[in-house]
Amino acid sequence: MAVDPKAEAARKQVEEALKKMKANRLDSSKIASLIKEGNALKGDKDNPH
Amino acid sequence: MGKQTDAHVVTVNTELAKLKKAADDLKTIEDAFETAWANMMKAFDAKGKAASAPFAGTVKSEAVKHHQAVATAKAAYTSSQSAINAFNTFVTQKDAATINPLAKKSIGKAKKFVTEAKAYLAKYSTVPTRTSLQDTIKGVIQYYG
Repeated sequence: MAVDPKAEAARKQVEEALKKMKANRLDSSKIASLIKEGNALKGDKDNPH
Repeated sequence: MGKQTDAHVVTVNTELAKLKKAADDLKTIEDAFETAWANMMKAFDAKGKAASAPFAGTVKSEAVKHHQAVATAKAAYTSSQSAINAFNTFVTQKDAATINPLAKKSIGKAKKFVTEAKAYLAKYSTVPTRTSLQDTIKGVIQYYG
C-alpha cells in the first residue's frame, strides 16, 4: 500500500511534538519538595515579620 | 516565621500545589494520548484508515483534555510566578531592614526557598507558550481518523 507523504509527514510531526512534550515535562516531585520546604518555613519563631 | 512571611508561604504553596496538579494531569493525559496514538498508527499500518478510524475518538478526546490541562498549567505557572515574585520583594525588603542575627538567619531560609522556587520556574520558562496536543493534531487526524 502506497503511503501518502502528507500523512506520513503529519504523523511524524505529532510524534515529534509528543516526544518534545515528554522531554520538557514539569518535574512534579521537585514542586512537592518546594512545597515541603515552604511549609517548613512556617512557625520559625526567630522571624518577627 | 512571622505572620506576613507565613501568609506569603501559604500563597506561594497554594499556587505551587495547583502547578503540581497540572503537571501530574498533563503527564497522565500525555501518556494516555501516546497509547491511543500508537494504537491508531498500528491499526493504520496494518489495515489502513478503515482500521485506524475507530481509535480517532479516543485520540481526539485526550487531545481536548490536553488542551484544557495546558491552559490550566499556564495559569498556574503565571500565578506561581506572581506569588514567588511578591514573596521575593517582601523578603528582600525585610532582609535589608533587619539587624537581629536570629531574624536575619530566619530570613535567609526564606530567601533560599524563594531562590529555589524562582530557579525551578525559570527552568520551565516555556510553559506559558506551550502548544496543546489538540492544536498539534489539527490537520493530521484527517489522514487517520
